[in-house]
Amino acid sequence: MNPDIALFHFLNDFADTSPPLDWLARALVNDYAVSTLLALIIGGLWFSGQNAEERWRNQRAVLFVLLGIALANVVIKLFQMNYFRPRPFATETVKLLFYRPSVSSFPSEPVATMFCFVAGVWSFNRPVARWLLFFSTAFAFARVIAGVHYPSDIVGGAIIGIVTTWLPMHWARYTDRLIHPIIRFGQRLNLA
Amino acid sequence: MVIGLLNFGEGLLALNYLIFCTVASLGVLQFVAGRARLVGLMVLPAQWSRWLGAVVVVSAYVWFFSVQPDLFIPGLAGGEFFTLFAIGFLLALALALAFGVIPNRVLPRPAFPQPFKREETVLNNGLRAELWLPRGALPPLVFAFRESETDSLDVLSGVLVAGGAAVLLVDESLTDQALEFVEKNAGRFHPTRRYAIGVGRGADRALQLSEANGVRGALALGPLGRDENAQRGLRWLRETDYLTAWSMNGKKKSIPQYLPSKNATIIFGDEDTLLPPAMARELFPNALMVAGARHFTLAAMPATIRLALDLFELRAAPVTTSERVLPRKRVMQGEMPD
Repeated sequence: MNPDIALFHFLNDFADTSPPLDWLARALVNDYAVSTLLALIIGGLWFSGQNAEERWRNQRAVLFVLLGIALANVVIKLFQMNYFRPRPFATETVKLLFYRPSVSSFPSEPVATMFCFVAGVWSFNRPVARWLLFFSTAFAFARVIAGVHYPSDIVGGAIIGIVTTWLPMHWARYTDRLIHPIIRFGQRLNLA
Repeated sequence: MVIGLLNFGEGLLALNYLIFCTVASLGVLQFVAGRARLVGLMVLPAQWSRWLGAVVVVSAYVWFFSVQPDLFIPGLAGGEFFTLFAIGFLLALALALAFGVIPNRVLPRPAFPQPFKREETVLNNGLRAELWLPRGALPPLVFAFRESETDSLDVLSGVLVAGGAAVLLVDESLTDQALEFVEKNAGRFHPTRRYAIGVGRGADRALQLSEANGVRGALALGPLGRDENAQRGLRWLRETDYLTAWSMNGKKKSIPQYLPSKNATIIFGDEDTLLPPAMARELFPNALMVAGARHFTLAAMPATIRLALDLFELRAAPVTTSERVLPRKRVMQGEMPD
C-alpha cells in the first residue's frame, strides 16, 4: 500500500474512537479557531518587544509572514490550476469529522498559510515561533484525522509555506525596500 | 472592486466573525500592552491588563463558538477571513487607543498646591505662558519649560509655588519670548535668584538657558539631547496616550545644540523609554537616575520634588505632602538611587 495512504488510514482510524479526541480534532480542524489564533498572535507580535530593536525584529517578522502568505497563495493557485488531487473521502473509506471541501487536496492551503506564520517568525522570535509551530502542527494532524487531507498534502503545504516565506527573507536586501518603508510609516503614526 | 470579489455568505456568520475578531484582538492588545507597558493602549494598569486581555480572548472564543454552531459547513474563505480579521484588528486598535486616552484626559487630575495668583500671557503664535505667583514680594523665579503645552510640570510647579517661588510655565518653543517677558517684568522678581526646569525638549531648553547669565541653577528632567530621540514611534505609547503623543511630536521641532554647564543638574527616570537609561548615560554621563520613573512621571516623583526644592533653595511648604501631590500611586515608590 502507498505509505501516504497507509499513514492517512493510521491517523484517520483515531476518529470516532473517543469523543474527547473527536471534540479536540473538530476544535482544531475548523476554519476559525487556529487560523484566527495565529493571526491574533501575529497582530500582538507587532506591538511586542521591550526595546526598539526587539520591536523592529518582531515587526519585520510580521511583514515577512504577510509577504509569505501572499506568495504562498499565488503558488497554490498555480498548483490548483494545473493539478487536481481528489480528497481522501472521495476515493477512500474514511471517518469524516469535517465538511467536504471541493478544492484540490494537494497542497493543503490552510497548512501552507500556517507554516508561513511559523517560518516568518522563526528567525526573529523563537519562543513565539515555537507556539506557532505547536498550533500549526496540531492543526495539520487534525486535518488528517478528520479525513480531509492526506499526509503528503500537509507536507506539501508546509513546504510551500516555509519556502515562500524563506525566499523574501533570503532576498531581504530587495524585500527590505518594501518592508522598511512600511515600518517607518508605522513609526510616523506612533504605531511601530 | 476587490471587495466585490469577496463573498461573505449568508446569515450572521461574517458579522459574528467580525465581532469575534474585534473583541479577541482587543484582548490581545490588552495582553501585549500589559507586557510591553504600552500605557497608551491600556484600559487598566499593566498588572491587570494582562489578565483582562487573557479573559477577553477566551471569552471571545467561547462566545463565537457558542453562537455559531454551524462551523462545519463551507463558510468564509481565505480572502474573507483576511478582510474581516484586518477590519476587526484595526477596530480593536482604535478602541484600545481611545481607551488609553481616558486616564490622561477624562479622569480628574490630582490636586496640588494652588498658586496665590495665576496670570496668563500670550507670548507668540497664540501660545500662552502662565505665571504662577506665591504670596510675598520679590519671589525667586523658575522658568518651567513643558513639553508642548502638556501638564507634565503642573504638579512640580504647584510645589515650587507653595515653596515660595514664582513659576513661569511655558511651552519649550517659547524660550526667547519667556526671557523677554521676564526682562520687561524684572521688578516683580528677585533680582538674582532665577532658575530653570524642563521636561524632555523643555529640559534641553533649560540646559541651554543655564548657559545664560542670570540663571543660577537648572534642573533638566529627561532631556532628549538630539533630534532623533524626539522622533515618533511606538515608544511614545509607553509614556503617554495616543493623542498626547501625537500632539507632542506633531510639529517638526529641533533640539538646540548646547553644552550643559556646571550649574545644571540632569536627572532621568530609569524606566524612561524615550531616552532609555543606557543611552541617557552615554549622552549625559553625570545624569542622576530616579528609580521607577518614566519620562512623563519623573517630574512628580518625590525624589525629583526634593531635589528641585533643594536646588532652588526653597523651603518645603508644610501644605505639601508627596502623597497629596503625586498623580498616581505607582510613582510614589520612586526614590533616587545612591
